[in-house]
Amino acid sequence: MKAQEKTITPAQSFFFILQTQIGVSVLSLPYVVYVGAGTDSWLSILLAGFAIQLFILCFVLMLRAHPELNFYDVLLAYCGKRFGSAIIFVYVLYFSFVGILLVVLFVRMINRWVLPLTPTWIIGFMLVIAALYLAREQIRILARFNVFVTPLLFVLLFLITYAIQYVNPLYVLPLFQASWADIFATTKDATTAMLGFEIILVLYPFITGDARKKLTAFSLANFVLTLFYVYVTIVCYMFFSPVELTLIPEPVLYILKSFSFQIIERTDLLFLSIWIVCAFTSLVNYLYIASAGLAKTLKKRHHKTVVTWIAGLIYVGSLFPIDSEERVIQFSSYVTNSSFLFVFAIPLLFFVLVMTSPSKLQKFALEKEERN
Amino acid sequence: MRSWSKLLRVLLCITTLLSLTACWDQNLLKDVSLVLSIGFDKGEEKELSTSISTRQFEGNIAAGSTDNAVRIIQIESHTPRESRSLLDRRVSEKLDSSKLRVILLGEELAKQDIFPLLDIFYRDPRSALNARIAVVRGKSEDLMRSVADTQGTVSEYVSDLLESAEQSTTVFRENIQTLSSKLLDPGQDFSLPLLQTTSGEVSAEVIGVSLFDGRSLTGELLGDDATLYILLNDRLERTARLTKPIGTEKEVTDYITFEVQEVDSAIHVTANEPDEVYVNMDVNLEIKIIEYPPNELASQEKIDQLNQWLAKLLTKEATSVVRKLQRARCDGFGIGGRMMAFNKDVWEDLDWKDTYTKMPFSVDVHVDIVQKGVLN
Repeated sequence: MKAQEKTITPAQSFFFILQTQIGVSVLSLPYVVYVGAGTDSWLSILLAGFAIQLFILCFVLMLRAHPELNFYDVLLAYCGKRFGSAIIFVYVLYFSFVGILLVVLFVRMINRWVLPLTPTWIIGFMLVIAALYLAREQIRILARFNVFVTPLLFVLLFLITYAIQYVNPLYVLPLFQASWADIFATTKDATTAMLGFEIILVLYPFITGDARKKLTAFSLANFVLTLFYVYVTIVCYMFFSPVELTLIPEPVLYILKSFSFQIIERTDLLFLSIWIVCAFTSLVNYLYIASAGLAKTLKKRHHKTVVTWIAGLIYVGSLFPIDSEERVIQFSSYVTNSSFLFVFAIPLLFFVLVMTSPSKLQKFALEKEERN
Repeated sequence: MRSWSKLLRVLLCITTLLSLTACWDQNLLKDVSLVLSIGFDKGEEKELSTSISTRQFEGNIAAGSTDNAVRIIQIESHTPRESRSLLDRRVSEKLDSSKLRVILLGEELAKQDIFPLLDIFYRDPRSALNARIAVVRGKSEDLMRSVADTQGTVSEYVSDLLESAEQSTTVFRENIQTLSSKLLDPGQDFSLPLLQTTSGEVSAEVIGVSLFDGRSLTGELLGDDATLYILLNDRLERTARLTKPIGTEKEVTDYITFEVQEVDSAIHVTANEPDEVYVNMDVNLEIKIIEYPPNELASQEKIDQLNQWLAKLLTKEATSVVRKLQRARCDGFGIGGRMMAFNKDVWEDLDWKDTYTKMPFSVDVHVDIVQKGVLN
């Protein structure tokens, strides 16, 4: 295996993060946050973006000293081989469950909007098979794919901008109707739609360039994403009247549904078939980092051997909560709640550990170098 | 290991091929009967009377020898969705309303809450949210039958009728999606085109707009009043043409016809205290004269005179339009919405609709003749 196939440039990492973050959740984001803080909840999205920026900074500071190690190595260094492997394994499970959630949400969306009669397990199967096909490849191939499909985001940008001619800006006024407590509380819901930046924990050593360059790429991705979400959300709030927003769980799709162009009657159908790709990249990226973790615990040199098992787990797992709305919501809240543990709490703990006693990581890095 | 991955690859190919056929969700035109227009009226025995128009294909479609007469089928039911099921039993193919173009509401029915009628259109992912919606004087079923008899096709004729009315600024450009925001917005009321069945060559005409208070019909504006109302709302489509008297005599030479080139309407809401709410509206119209038999537009003085005459006349008419809106409790200018945005405290203390009907509302129209054709 040529070493250069295992690296990606900072620019590629920008697209990698953006594509992992943007998935199905953006389509319902305006509704999800509206329930929390009304028409002011775009502020929550801004705050969430700000909070995530802080975490990105912590992650980079944690991994900066030893750019050849990723978060999995940090776990091994501080928790010992056995316990560290156990935690990595739990992380693998967590990433797989995020993958399951992505499949479940996406399949339900397709089922309700486009293919009401097609059995859900078929749609999920096709999605997972395609994801497996890509996730088996080297990281550089993944990165190239993420870059390649990014122009598709402009389709949403264009369609949302097209909606501006129908908006009523008075709907978002007056500002600050919600209490600051509500706005802060809703930041949690906004954050769940922005998850995906945590892949830098795993990808860090594969990215070329110094820490400053990496940080710039990560921050830019976060910045672009936050602006994009705020824009989409505000347009939705001006398009639908406040009462109506509480009735429409997928406002972004609903806006598109009412458009009819010269040659396209149902814009939402066309859009969803394009959006499949954006949801798909999130799944592939999670599949990749989950299998990278599993390969590390099983001491495999290559993730290819285990990626099939994870894909299988994701597919089988997605079959369970798919049928009833209630179970999907329950499952989704389990996963998002656990994400606060795995994405924010645990990495923050190890950030403190690395900052206070860097010698342990140093020793681990030296040992690793000797082994190679 | 090698043979494993080879086997996997073959399996992949087969499964992918199988899944490409997508045979569950096919929706073939030959199996469905497209519902292109739908009319709701108050039923006699049950709550609702639904009429649909579908095209009946007889003979061999492939051979091209079709007789596609339009059928109007009417049925009584409790809800719109139930009527769909009942109608389905009467039609050999499956009814499909995803290409719906027109929804018509009978006047009597529209006086009740109309939102429940539209629920199925908002709930169904396949429904056509760009369908136009209008109120019919009398029963919508009669209008549909009359149109079907004389024009051959209901949906196309009625939607073209509505579209040309939109373009001439006679009715608002509205479909069921744009309507939904207003239906659910306490700060804004809407109005729908008002149709009437006529006898003779043409079978239907747009006679104005019907005004709604919240979700139910409460009034109407006919003819020029409707156009003026839309202009006051700062909206102008392709043209807006008005014919007005310029004297007291009733002769052809005593009328002027003009097109509005540009409209600029500003609403000023004053609401500092709950019992001190009033509205001033300033409207500037730039018009082009397209008919003026007296032919005396050479002097600027005469033009100024005309400007003033028209301004006075239109101010009077606009004031009467506003009164009619207030009497119908129809907040068609979205003044409630403005107050919610800028005077939220005051708005919350008000019984808004009561205040609206009673509050002072003055309109001031300015007219400026900017063009007069190629003749003085």
